[in-house]
Amino acid sequence: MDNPKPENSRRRFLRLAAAAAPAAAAMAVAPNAAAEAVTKDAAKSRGLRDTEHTRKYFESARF
Amino acid sequence: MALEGKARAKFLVDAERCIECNACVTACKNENGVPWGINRRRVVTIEDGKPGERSISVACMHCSDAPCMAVCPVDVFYQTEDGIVLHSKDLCIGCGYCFYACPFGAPQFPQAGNFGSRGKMDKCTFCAGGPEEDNSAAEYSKYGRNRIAEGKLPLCAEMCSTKALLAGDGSEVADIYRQRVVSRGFGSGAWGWGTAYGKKGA
Repeated sequence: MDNPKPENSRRRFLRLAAAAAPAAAAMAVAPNAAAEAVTKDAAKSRGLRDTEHTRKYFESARF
Repeated sequence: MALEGKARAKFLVDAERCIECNACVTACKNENGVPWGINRRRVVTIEDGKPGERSISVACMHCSDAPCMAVCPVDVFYQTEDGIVLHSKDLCIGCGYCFYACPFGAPQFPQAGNFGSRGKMDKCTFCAGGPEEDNSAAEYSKYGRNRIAEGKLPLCAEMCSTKALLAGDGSEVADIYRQRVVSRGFGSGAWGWGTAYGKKGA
């Protein structure tokens, strides 16, 4: 008389739908996050430095 | 010691010294894992085999007011505090405008598919990588080695056997070249000298 299968399947569907909604929202936001990362990383740069290595190079070029 | 944006990254080629060995081209390809069909740097020779032959090594000159930056429709370019012009391959759409704008022919495009379609632009980075984290695998795969972050200078210049190609802080590079011109005397054969002083062909 009792048939638990359909009920289980309905619950599984509802659980899946509940989990999928935030995942879809995260996917929609992800590209913006990536674009932000590019600009944030672009600011990082230690730039040219005066090191032992560069000093040796400039010394080697003075001839 | 950090130069804190006081430096200006510059390349300078001493045409009197370049022997057209192409070591700069090879060094660049090897260090940066440059894709097939692309040379970020190349050696141009004029009057080949004739008196007055001169060679210069050409790549991105990291212009102060870079035309590639001005024409890019998707704004992939940015300039570091030291004046190094870099770009983001993630944003590039491969339109080729930068190639048309650049007076040095620096931007290069891989043949990404059939019918001559272009891939994303690739150019000299002054061995300074790209927008990704310094010395990361992602940065290396897209832009090559980040030697500047390691406190070094572009390998093309460091490898140059005659030190014809100079790279680094513009004031340092100019100082070296100034000393050479003084020791060689007038008419050094510097690029553009004949045009500037009315002695073309001399």
